[in-house]
Amino acid sequence: MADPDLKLKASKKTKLMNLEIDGAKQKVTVRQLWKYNWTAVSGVPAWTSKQKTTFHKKIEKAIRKSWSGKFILQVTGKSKFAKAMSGKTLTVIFDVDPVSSGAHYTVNAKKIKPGDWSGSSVEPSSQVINIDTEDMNPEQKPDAPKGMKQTVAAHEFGHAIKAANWTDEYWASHKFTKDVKSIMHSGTKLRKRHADHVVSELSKMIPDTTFKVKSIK
Amino acid sequence: MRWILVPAVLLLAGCAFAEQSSANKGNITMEEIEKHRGETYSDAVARLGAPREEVEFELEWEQREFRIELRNFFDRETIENEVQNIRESTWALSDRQNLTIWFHQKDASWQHLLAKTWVPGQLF
Repeated sequence: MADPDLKLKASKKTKLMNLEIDGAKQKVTVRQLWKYNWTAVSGVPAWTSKQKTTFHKKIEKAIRKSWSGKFILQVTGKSKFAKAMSGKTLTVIFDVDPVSSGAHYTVNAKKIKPGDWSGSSVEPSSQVINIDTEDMNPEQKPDAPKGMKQTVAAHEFGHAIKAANWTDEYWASHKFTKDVKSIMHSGTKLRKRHADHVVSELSKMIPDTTFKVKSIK
Repeated sequence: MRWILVPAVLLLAGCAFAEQSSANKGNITMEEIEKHRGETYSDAVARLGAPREEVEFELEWEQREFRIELRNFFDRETIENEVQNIRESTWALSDRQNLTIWFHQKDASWQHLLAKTWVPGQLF
């Protein structure tokens, strides 16, 4: 019979994300709520309902592919949950849900001509994400090894969850400027540090319980 | 990528401009910016003052998001086979809005090719 303390379920709403711990399933869900603002560049037809739905699905798929199921957490501490979790791990799942109110981010989704380019970004101060219809296409970025193509949507999502502590790792002055394969630099690889904010928030949820990234899948 | 830091940025003039702009508080719109597409660098400096930051580079195909829209003006073959010199100049219009204009070198002149406004702290 499973340890009853393992069945802990806890959730928390933060400024940047909602966090859900499911001890029984050994899963942590990081859920971000997005309120879309749909725009189209001049000369491009407005979004249809179907296109909006498809866009969100594609963005979510790109985010999940890069981020979900990768961080493996371990739990330490004096709580019953921490003790029950001894020797066990939790997997972090990332999810993005469209909402009409109560969003963590306003997402300006721009429809552009196929093959055109639009700069994507995150504005932390106003919690705005700017993305476009070409952002799911993997792209070779400067400094990345040839063939290691970054999906811009996944990089920007990293910013939105504070994976690089509100900066880009590709700046020459950045501590990890040489880590060109990192997703928050020019590549696709997750690093333990990219979950620093998530584990910091998780560690505030249950008294005497500390979460830490054990490994990355 | 070959980077050329332009030493001629007039720091004092830039500071004076930043103060003046902050006092303005007004943010400009992309429509206003579009009106100036094609203007020369000299015209832009006469209008906006000395830029706060400036860098020149030869355009390459692989770009970060901040500069990715430069690709809309040249196809890959052109970028890879012909030197395209770009001057990237940034003004602080207010404490909430920066303006970057990319100028393209044509003969001896630098012409406004693309502009973007962005918030200090914006991540690309």
